[in-house]
Amino acid sequence: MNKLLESILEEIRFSYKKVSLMILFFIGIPVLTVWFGGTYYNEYVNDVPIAVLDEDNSSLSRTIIKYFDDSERFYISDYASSREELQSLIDDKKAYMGLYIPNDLNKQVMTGKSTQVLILTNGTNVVIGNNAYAGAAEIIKTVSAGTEIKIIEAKGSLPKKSATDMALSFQFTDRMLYDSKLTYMNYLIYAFIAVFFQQLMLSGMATLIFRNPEKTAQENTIIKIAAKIIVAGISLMVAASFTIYIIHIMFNVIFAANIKLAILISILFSIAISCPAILLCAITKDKTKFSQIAYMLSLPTFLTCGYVWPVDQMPDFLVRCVKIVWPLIYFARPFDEIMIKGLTFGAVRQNIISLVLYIIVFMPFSLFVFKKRFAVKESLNNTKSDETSLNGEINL
Amino acid sequence: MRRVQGEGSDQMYESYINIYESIKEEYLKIKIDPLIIIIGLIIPILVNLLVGWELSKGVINHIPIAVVDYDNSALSRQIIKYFSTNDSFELKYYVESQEALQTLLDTSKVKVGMVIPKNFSGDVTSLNSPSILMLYDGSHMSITSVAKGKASEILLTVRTGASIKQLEGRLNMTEEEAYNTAMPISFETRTLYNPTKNFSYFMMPGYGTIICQSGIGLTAVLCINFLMGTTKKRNMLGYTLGKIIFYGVLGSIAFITNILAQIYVFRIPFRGSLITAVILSILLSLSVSALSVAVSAWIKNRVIAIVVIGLMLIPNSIMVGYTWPLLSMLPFYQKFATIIPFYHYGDNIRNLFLKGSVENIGVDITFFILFTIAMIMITLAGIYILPYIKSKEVGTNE
Repeated sequence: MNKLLESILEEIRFSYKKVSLMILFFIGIPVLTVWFGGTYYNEYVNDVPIAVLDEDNSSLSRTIIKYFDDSERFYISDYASSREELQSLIDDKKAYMGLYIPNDLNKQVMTGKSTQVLILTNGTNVVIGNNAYAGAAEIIKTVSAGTEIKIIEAKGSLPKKSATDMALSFQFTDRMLYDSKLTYMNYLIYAFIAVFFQQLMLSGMATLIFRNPEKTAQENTIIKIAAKIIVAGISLMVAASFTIYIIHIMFNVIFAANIKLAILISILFSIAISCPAILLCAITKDKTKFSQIAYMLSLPTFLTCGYVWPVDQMPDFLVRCVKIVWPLIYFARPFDEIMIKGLTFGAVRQNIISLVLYIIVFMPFSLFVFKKRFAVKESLNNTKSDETSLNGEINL
Repeated sequence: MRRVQGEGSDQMYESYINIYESIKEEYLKIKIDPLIIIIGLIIPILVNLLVGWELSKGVINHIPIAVVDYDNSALSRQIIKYFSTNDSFELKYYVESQEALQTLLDTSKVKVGMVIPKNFSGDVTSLNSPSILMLYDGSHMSITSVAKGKASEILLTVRTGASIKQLEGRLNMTEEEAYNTAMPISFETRTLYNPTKNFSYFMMPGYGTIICQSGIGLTAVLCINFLMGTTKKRNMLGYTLGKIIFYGVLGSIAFITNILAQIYVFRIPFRGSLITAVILSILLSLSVSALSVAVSAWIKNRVIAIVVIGLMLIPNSIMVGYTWPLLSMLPFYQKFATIIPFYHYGDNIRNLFLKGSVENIGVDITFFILFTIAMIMITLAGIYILPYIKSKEVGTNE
C-alpha cells in the first residue's frame, strides 16, 4: 500500500511539472467538448430553403404555402415556374426541398376527388432530408385533416365536432421520453466526452509510461502501472465531471445521472482502456508511433461503439470482434444512457461485467508483453534514450 | 540574356533534383519504418472496409417495441399486427400495464412503446376519438427518428381506414366517395438521389475520406527533418514540394482505393464522373499533405505536431457540416468551415456518388490550389524563420 502511495505521489510530482500533461489532463476534455459541441448549439435544422411550384394558385394552395412560410423549419427561397425549374433548384442546391401543387388541386377537392401534393426532398444529407420531410408531412396532414372535416361537415350536414370525430376517428399522441426535444446536442455530446476521455487517457498513460518504461518493467510493475492509471484516470474524471457541469449550464444538456454508477463505469473504463494503452506502448516502444496509432484509432473506435450506428444493427460477427478488441463499446452508449436516462445498475450490469472481464483478460496480457518488451539491458536502454531525445520525440 | 537563361535553367534543374531527393528520402524512410505505409495506406483502407461492413445494412429496422393493449379488440389487435408485420419494428413484449412498459423503456430493453386505451374500439365506433399513446426513447436519435416516422405512417393508414368505414356506414357513401373524402389531399414524397435513405450512402463517401486524410496527416506531419541544415545545403522549395508530392501521391492512392472499394465492394451507387472524383481526391490529398508539412515545419515536438494535425483533420465531419448541416450552426462555425479543405470535398464527393453532378466545382478547385500554395509558403516561412528566431534567442541569452 505504501509503495502504491509512493508511486502515486511520484506520478503526481512528475505530472505537475509538465505543463503539457496538465493541459492534457485538465483542459483537453472541457475545451474540446465545448468547441465541438458548440456546432450543435442550435437545436434543430430550421430555416431550410424550399422552392415552391404552385400551378393551382387557389386559396387552398396559398393556404398550404402560407403554412410552410409560417413554419420556422422552412423559408421559401424560390418560386419555380415549371417542374424542370423546381428540379434544377434542388439539383443546384438552391433549395433542399421542393413543393409541387398541381393545377387542379382546389377543383379536385371541391368536386370530392382526392388529389396529391408532391414533396421532393434532397436525400444526399439524410439529416436535412428527414427534418424537411417530417416538417412537410406535419403541414400537409394538418391541411388535409382540416379540408376533410370541412367536406364531411358539408356533405353530412354535421356539426363541426361530429365531423372532426369522424375525420379523426382516433388520435395518436407522441411522447418523447428522456430527451423531449430530440436534439443532436443531447444525442452526441456524451459520445464526444467518452471519446475524448478515451483519447486523453491513451495519451496520458503513454506520457506516464514513457517517462520510465524500463524502470516500470523491472520491478513492482503492477503497482507502478496502477499508480499511473490512478493519476491519469482521476485527473480525467475530474475534468470530465467539470465538463459535464459546463455543458449542462451552457448548452442545457440533460443530466439525470446516477452519479455513483457513472463513476463506477468510468473507473472501470479507465482501467480497461489502459490495457490497449500499455500494449501499444510495449509494441511501439516509441511515443511518436504510439500517438500516431492512437489518433488513427479514434475515428474507427467511435464509429464502431454504437453511437453513429446502433450495435444491434451491425453484423453480429463484427460486434463480437469489436467487443473482444476495444472496450469503448461497453462504455460510450451505457455512459450516455446513465447520464440522459438515469439508468440503474441492473440495466448496465452486462456492460460492467464485460468491462471487468476485459480487464481480467487484457491487463495480465498487456503487463506480460510490457515486461517482456522493456526488459532489456541497461546499456541498450541508454542508447535508445539518447536516440529518442535527439529526435525530439520523448517529451510531451 | 543567354547567361540569365542558363542560370534560370540551372536553378530549375537543381529544384527538380531537390524534389527528387526529397521524395527519395521519404521513400527510403518507408523501408526503415513501414509504419508510414501502415498508417498512411493500410489502416485507412482496412478501416474503410470495416466501417463499410458495419453500415452494410443501410437502413435501421427491427426496432424493439412493447405494447400495452388495454382494449384487446379486433381493431387494437389489427393495429398491433400492422406493427408486428412491419419490417421496421420487432414486437418484443406484450405487457400488462403502462408501468411495466415504462420499466422496459427505462432499462433500454425496448425503444418504442405503444399504449392502446381501454374501450378504444368502442370509442372509435361511437365517434369519441380516443387516443393511442406512443412512447419513444429520445436518447437515441437515429433509432427514434426512424421509429417515429414509420409508426406515424402505420397509424395514419389505420386511421384513414377507420374514417372510411365511418363515412361508408354513417353517411352512406360508396367506398370511392368515402376514400376521397377521407383523403382529400394526400402527399407523395420523393426522396431524390437516396430514395431508401440509406445511411451507408450518406455516411461512407465522406467518412471514408476522413479516415484516409487522417492517415496521411499523421504520417506527413513527421516529415520535416530538423537536422537537414547541418548536413547539406538544399533548395527548400524543392525539399518542401518533394514532401508534399510524396504524401499527396500516397493520399491519392488511399482516397481512390477507398472510392473504388465503396463502388465495387459496398455497391454504393456512383452516378458521377470518376475523373472528377479522382481530380478532387488528388487536390484534397495535396492540400492535406501541404497542411501537414506546414505543421511539421512549425512544430518541432513530434508528439505535439501529431496532436495538432489530429485535431485539425479527424473531426472534419463535424466541423464542415457533413452530418449536422452547416446552415444550423452558429455563423462563426459556418465561416470557419470554409477554410477547411474537407469542406470543399465532402459534399462534392457525396454528390458525385448520389446525384451524379457537382455545383461550382471551379471555386473548390481554386480553393485547393490557393490553400496548397499558402501552406507551401507557411512551410518555407517555418523552415527559414524558426532557426533564425532560435539563433536570435540564443544570441540574446548569450
